[in-house]
Amino acid sequence: MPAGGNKPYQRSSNRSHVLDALRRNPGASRRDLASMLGLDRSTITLITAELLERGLLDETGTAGGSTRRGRPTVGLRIRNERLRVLGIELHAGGYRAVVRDNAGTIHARLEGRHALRGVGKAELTALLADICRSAGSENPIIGVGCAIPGSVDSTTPTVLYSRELEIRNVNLPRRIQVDDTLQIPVVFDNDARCGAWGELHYRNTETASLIFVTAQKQGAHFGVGMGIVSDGSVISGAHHTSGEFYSPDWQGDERSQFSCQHSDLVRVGSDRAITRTVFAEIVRGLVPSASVIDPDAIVFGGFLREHYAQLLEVAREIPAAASVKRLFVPGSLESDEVTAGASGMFHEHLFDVPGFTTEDSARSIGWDAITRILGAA
Amino acid sequence: MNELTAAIDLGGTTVKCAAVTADGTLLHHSRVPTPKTGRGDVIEAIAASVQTLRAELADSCDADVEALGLGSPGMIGSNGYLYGEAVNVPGWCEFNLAETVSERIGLPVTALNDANAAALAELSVSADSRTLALVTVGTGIGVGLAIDGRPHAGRAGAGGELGHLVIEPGGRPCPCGNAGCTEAYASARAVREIAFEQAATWPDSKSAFAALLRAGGPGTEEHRILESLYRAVREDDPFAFVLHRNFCGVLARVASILASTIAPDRVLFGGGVMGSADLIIPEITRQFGTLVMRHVHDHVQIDIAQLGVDAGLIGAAIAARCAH
Repeated sequence: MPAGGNKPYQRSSNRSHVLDALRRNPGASRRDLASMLGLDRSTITLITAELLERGLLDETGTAGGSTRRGRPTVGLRIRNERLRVLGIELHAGGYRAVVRDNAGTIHARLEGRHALRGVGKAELTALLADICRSAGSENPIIGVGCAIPGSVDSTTPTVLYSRELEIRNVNLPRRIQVDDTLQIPVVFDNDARCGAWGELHYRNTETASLIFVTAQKQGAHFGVGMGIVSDGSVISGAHHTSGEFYSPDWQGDERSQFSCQHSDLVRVGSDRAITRTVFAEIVRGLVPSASVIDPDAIVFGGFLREHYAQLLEVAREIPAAASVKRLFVPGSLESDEVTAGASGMFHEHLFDVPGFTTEDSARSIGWDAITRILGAA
Repeated sequence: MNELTAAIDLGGTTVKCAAVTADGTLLHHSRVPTPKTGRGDVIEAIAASVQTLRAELADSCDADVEALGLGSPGMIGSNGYLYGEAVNVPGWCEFNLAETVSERIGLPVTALNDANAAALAELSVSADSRTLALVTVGTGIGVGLAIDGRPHAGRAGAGGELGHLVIEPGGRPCPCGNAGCTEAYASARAVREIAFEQAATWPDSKSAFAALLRAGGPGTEEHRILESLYRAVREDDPFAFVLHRNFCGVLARVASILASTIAPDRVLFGGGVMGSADLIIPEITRQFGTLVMRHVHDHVQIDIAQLGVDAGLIGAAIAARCAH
């Protein structure tokens, strides 16, 4: 509900509500917005005039219906094509990235090598700025979403631990300096949650809850992680530990999470028996999490998307999975799932309504920063 | 006068009603029996309770409520729709509960599962928590979820339905018709049944608990058995200790599933059996530590629920206040 009281917060909150309403109802008229948000027509007129002037909105001809004076009402839409975000996936050997706008169009794909094991804040910040510059386009990039393998606190933001990057407790920047005058905001999360952000942001259907399950195989290491969506938002949980895959057979000992030795995991994908064992445990392990979440879909990414047919075949043979396998779908963004997911995460945070709590504020990007960037271009 | 919200906690036996202030104080608390004669009569009982409440508020302090929060058994989606059937309330099956009650009483209504309402209430008194799971152990096992301050319903209101999660395929029969459900091991009813089944395998046990089981008959209702069981645990009866350890082991598995999936700041346990929480919570915590990764274990606190029987009313009011 739009806010009253504190004026700067109220203005910012109302603007966010208007943009969020237009995101969900493109082509809505000023009158529609006033009715949807319970705000005065004069407030809506002021906010939309400012957003039109700053190039965030377009008028779209008639929205249907007419004013009391008989003039046709004018619809409004967000200029999604201007909201270009760089989505980056970091890995030990470098990065992959896409430039994607809020309409879902990919404008550029980038890839680069960079040794990231043991990386610190300064080097990482410089790398992100370099990627931004190399992604340079006529239309400015308004922000960066960055996926990091491991445990990530997206609010402070900090890499708590990354086995792949071999780092622990590394602070991350909130903004990166692209040139002498331009700073752009950046948001982070881990790769599984970015996958979930991507599915949430780009799915065509209204999604309230979802489980995104991904697996990465690197040499002998095989890791499974989940991104959890509840009530239309990706959740982090206590100390950012939500989405820990839980194997029903794990005994808490030193073996791998799966019923085979660490050394066998190198053959997941190539050895049929080991692959079946691991996939069966993944499928059975999803049943409890699905009971907790009651998701609209269970979406598979990474190695599990690449081996989706085999995963489905294994699931068909597991009676306990009968209730969940009808929810299985392969990730819709395919190999862009993490990069595009990272950009989707930025877009989702962009449309957050600013809150009063520290955590809400930390996540909030704010439209002022975006209009400055667009205005500077 | 504080902003007031009406709250209903609908159960199989009573309809509880109160006005709830923003700080969680209950005013004009009432209760009437839940009609056994069908959905229409239950709706009328809810409407009459709210009408009486509003009249009392008008008389006593010239105040009114702005919305109604309605906690109910059953799988209730975030749209207020009741999916499936809540067997304890006659006719409570496949309809939009929030819309139906709202049309009847002329107030905005937020309907949610009663366990989720209780979880929201517990979250409101848990400092520094954003996400909380409440596991209520009674005749069955109910799980309420409050994630980032909101009740979690899921796709069709089945979020948190862990009572009938199969943890032992082909295991003990469950009243739901399946076998090996958590409720078949860790509900008060299941513990009673298991105690009777296993008493014969501990012929040397001299405890009053073992004697009670061997005698059978009166005094062996669920709550009496659990009281006697925990007295025996305190007296170091090995039979009682095995039952206690197995019971807590299943609850630890429930906690580990919740912790791994949503990582709540707290997993709280409630229900009549928690009269022996000083024994139960440490044992759940110990076994929980063997089931989850260390970093999960370090950040998820296992504890006893703080609020009593009013949690459902307080949580329903919070949900309504957040929604309207």
